Amino acid sequence: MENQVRPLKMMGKLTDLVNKYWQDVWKSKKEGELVAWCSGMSPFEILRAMDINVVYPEAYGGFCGVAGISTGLCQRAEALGYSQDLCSIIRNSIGAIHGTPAKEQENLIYGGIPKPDLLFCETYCPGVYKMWEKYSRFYNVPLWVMERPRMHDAFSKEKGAHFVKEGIDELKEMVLFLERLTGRRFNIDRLSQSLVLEREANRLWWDSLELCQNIPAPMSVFDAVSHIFPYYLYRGEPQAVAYNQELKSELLDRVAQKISPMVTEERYRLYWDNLPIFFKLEEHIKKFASYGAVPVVAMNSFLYGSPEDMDPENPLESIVKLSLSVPGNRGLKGRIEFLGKLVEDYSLDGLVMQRTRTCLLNNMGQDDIMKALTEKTGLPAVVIEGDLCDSRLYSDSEFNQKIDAFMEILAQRGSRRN
Amino acid sequence: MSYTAGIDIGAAFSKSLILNEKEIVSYHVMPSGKNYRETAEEVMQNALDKAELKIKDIASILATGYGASNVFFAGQQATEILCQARGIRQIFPSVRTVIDIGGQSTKVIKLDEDGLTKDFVVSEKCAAGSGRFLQVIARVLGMPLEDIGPFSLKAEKVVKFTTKCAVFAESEVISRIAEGEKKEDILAGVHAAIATKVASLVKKIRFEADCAITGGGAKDIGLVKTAEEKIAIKLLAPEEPQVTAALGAALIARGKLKEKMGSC
Repeated sequence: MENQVRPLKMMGKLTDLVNKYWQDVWKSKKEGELVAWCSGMSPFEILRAMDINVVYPEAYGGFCGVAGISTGLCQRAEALGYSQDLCSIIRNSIGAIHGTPAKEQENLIYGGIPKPDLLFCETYCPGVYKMWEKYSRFYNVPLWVMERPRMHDAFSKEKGAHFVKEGIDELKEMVLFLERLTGRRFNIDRLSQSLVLEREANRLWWDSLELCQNIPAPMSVFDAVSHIFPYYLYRGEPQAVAYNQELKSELLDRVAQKISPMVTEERYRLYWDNLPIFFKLEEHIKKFASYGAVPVVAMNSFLYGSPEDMDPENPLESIVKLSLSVPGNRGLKGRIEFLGKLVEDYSLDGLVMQRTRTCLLNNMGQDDIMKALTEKTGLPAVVIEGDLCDSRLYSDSEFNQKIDAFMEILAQRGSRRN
Repeated sequence: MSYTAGIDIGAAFSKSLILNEKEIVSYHVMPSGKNYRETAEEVMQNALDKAELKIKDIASILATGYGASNVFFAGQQATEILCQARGIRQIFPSVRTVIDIGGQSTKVIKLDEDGLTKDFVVSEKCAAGSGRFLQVIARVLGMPLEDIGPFSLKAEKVVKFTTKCAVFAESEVISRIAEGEKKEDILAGVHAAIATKVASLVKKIRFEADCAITGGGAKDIGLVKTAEEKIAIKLLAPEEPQVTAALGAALIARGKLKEKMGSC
């Protein structure tokens, strides 16, 4: 039987929810409400608790990549003098905001990005941090930077206590800053209530990821990168809980019926390192499916830390712990341990390491992780040269050549389950 | 007599090879040009002519290489990695690592004791570590490609290149010529630059001996010698290093044919 791509039924709801998010943000902006730009892991919960709208320019890069317009936007950034070596997600935003004439911006996907009234970011990604400094000067709006130290192994109560205390102090300062800026009083009970919802949505998301341990997996990495968005955009709000509840139900149905999102027979289960190559999503799904191979898990899918680290009774501490404990914030040893567990839990047959050409943050240590994991698990691995938003840094023939050869190796070895 | 053929349509050169049940009957190598489909027909026809055979005499044809999908008369395809591994083990059964310096990229393939592919690495999307680099430099120096290897052995020093990019290296070579550097010393520098990239790939894959070198780059004696120095190992080079993937393709075709006949 021929392999067939079976998108989740939730895809329609996802589109509606994402469209509504952008419509609401634009409406709020036009009505004079405050809009903050946040990097992916900024303490957005506090902003929401103070009725400040949140926009994620990094996520906008993903939307533009999937829509096939990101390379053009990157080129617009380069025309302004930005180097092609700079992160393509950042270049995508610069191209949309500065490189596109004001009159044309509304023709961009979701009408472009509304201008910020204030900016928040973490020190996690140096590229984003530097760009946020630039935006602060450009728009003449305040910037708040949260420190986020790297955990060398993994976050633990003992090793992290000092950082948690510092993080809480920083959040308290941030609250004072926001109170002065907005003239509004911060209500910690409201923050606790939103954390109850966020923890529930997060728990449902982790449940959904765990369901992918089933054979066949009901959702691929290529699905997960889309279906994480309601949680991302509506964190701490009932929409994210409702969406993730329905998503989990659909995945449970698929598990019961043994339905894979990509293949008729799941022959090989793969780990995918880094985010997918946004502008090639559909083609890559077809390519892997042609071999009966499914990327079933990625570290990036665990982007928001564990619900176990969330305690609505101690909201500030929870926010700090979540930020410190995410797998991506671990040093090499911690990440290798986390991935080694994924290899077993998800019954993996091989590792696909996507090397994002313009992301130094994720490329650092990728070879070391690959070497350690192949030695520890004996699984074969392949490195794919790619990028998230700049298609000029990717080659179809190179990708196909490597995947074809990698699949030959997997075929020689056979699936671990046979 | 049953014949099988392998066709390897590479980015720079295309190769065909015909096998009978015991040995290689003929082979042909020619530039790939711009029309892979026509080249595939031509390279096959040349091998057939040399063997005094007709296409209908070939029981099975397997295509490989960058342009494999253009070989419309081949019944099957396999990757260069697989074909290269199969071909080199036929020539050197002890080989555990293959360095293939092709026109488009350099690949290093690690084999297990049974000759199956264990791991592979491919050079980045860049011409610096590939045969294309040599082509560019040969053109700038106004020398035939086949002459640059022997000529480089006359070098008295190695001219250093500051770039890893083939395009920038072209202008750097022009600058060195203008500065009065000798051609052979420039070539030694080019070989050192490529060999350094190759050596880093070989070390990355944690190579095992014996180690063989194939592809157009293996015909450049200066490059092979420099690579041996950088990797600190003697490299085994087939007599005709450009046709190992085509040989592997023909062998795989023969194996599949036998399987098919056996199952009838």
